[in-house]
Amino acid sequence: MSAAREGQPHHPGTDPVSAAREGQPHHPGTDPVSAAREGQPHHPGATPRERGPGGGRPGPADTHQPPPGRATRPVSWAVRLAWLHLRSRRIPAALVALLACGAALWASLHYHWWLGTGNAADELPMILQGCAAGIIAVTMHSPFGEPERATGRWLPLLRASLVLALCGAAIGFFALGAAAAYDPRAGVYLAGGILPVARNLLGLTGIGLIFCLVAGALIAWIGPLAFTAISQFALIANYSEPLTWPTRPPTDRGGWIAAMVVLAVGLIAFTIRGARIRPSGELPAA
Amino acid sequence: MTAVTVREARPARPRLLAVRIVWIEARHSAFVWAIPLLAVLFIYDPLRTASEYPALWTLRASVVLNKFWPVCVPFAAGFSAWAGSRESRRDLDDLLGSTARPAWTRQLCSLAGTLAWVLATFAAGVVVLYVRTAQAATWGGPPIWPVAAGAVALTAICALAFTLGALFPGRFTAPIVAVGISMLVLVMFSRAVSQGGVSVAALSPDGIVPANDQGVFYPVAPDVSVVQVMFFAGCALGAAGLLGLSPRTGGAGWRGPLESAGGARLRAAAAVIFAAGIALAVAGFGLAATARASSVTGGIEVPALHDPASDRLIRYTPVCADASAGFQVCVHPAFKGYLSQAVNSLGPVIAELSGLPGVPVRAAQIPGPALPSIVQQVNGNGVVSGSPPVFEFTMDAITLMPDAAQFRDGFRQDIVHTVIVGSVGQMAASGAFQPDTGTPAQQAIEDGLLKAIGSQQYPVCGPYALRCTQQPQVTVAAARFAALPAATRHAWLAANLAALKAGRITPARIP
Repeated sequence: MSAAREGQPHHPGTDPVSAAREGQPHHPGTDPVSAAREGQPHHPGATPRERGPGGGRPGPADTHQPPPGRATRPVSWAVRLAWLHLRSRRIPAALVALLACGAALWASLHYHWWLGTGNAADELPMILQGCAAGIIAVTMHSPFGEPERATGRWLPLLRASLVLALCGAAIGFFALGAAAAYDPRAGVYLAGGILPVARNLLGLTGIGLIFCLVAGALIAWIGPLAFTAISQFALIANYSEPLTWPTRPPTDRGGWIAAMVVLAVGLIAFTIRGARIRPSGELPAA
Repeated sequence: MTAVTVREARPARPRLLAVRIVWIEARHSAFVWAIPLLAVLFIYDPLRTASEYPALWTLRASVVLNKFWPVCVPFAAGFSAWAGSRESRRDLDDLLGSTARPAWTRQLCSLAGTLAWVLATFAAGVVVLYVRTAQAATWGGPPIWPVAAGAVALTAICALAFTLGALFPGRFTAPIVAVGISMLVLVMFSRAVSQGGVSVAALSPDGIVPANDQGVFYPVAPDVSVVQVMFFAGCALGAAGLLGLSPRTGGAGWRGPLESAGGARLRAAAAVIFAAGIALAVAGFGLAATARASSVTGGIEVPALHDPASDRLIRYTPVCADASAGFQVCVHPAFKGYLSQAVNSLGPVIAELSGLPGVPVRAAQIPGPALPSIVQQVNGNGVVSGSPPVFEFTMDAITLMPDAAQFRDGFRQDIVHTVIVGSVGQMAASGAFQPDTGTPAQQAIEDGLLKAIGSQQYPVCGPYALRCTQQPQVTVAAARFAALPAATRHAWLAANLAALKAGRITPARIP
């Protein structure tokens, strides 16, 4: 509903919808949403957009000088941008899910859920790595679609940073889970250490990112899951090729190269193109 | 001017309407994305594994539940959770809340659409496996119970995952549910393997690989499959009932005012289905707890469901061939394809030993459980027994030892050891197995005979020894004996076998 329809004057640079809802007068260049929430009057010319260098582009210095009468924290626009990006991707929930994967690894080690020694000991950790990679892939879904791409200049950087940060967080949670369960006297330890976890997770994340491009981020978990299933088969049947890197020894060069190539391909392609977007945010009709 | 006649559309009958909705749901199901991946996975391992197994129906059909079913599980769970969370994911709750039909009807149609694809994919894999087996098998027919158990278990997984998706909608629900249920299946499998498939571990469709001759000499009792069908059908009904009852999913609610569409009838139907499902699952669980291994058939039986008729031998006409100078080798018709292999294994050793006391006059395949446990302790494949002596053997080695040379040597070692030494060993009072490897002279003759016919020496250190070194004097005497002409070896054995078995001959006296 627009302000004009409500019979109120419409001033450029304001959000007429919010202002109309609050029944307050609009002034150009103010943020009516924040002001209305705080119950304070709006003053023209107070936003960084109008005062920033380059004809309205906000600069870091602008945010350090909040408009008079407005309680804004002194954060840089980059931090704010990053935070909004993270929130739009449900990062807090993703971190909780990754933490749950680490906790599940701890539980599987501590309560002896694994099938035995040797190859069988890798089965459950591998499934959890596939789950973490699936969560990272699903996190890449944007609720904004095309409008974000049209305006987001820093989007590629944010995409790549987010993927790497989540990979780091997942590896960290797995390491914490394994360290918490570590008890060599009782024979409780992560077979192969954290190296294969890092390699498998990074490679599986690469597969997830490639599936983001093909099928969209919301459904991209099927890629890591399918590859995990292939790797499980390879593990049980002792098939050993570099392409099934989760079955290779921790320091195997071929396995590392394969995993890193897949990650690099997935990360570069995803950084440039982003996840596939459907107008509805859903899958195409079958 | 043209007159336009507008015909009133007849309202569709409820049943047809449901079919139409299911058809629409199936056409729009996201599961089609998983089908190519499942096809790749199916070719990568289940099909390859089945092709490497002997062409026996029960053995190859085990791939359906041990290999293909676990592959279907994460995708069935993930896409069902995805379908279940659809309405909330698309913010359609308010819009769909105003429709005439209850949310439960709509959700069950959506579940049916995904389930149809899951079951069709599962069925397609089973058909491919069974057609391949039918082309190679020489006896028997396709087992249906494992397929039924797998299909019902997949239905339960879909229903459970769909309900979880509807209860906790979100972008992470599908992968977490998929992996969570996969982990549960894997943990159940590990319990099934560690417990030998008895007790509640019998509920795991994914279990141990059956023996080669399971379902060949005795019918496979459907007890375990029936219990699995009961348990998983109960889980499916319970999940479907919960979907209809939970207010979070738009259901009628457990108690209180009936605000949702459907009213009292809907609540009653959902409650009955939920209660029936729980009762069925508990009954299945209770029955599974009584599952035990059968000493007769080697399979798993549930006493309350067991039919004694399934413990009777299946009648068959053995397939026989002559191995050496009237020595008949007979196998079950299901193993007809391996008869020549058995004949080639036994022929040379019988030619070396023929006419000596204790040498079998024929060889016959017997069921695995009929082999003495002491022979199984040493990984033996057969035993010489009866009068006249008959070499009774099993064909388990054809999967345990994919190498044809190992399969051949196993039979030869068993016969040579029985004729030259006798017993394979005995159980001590402590329960430990003590192998009888014979005197050095007996070992030398054994190894010499086996070497002469091109086989590996008898494992004197027992079947589980990692490294085994024969005594030098034995090795030298064995090489000497193997180098003799066959007629000389036979003549020496005919003259000295009694003394050799009595332990009165030393390696130095061996020619």
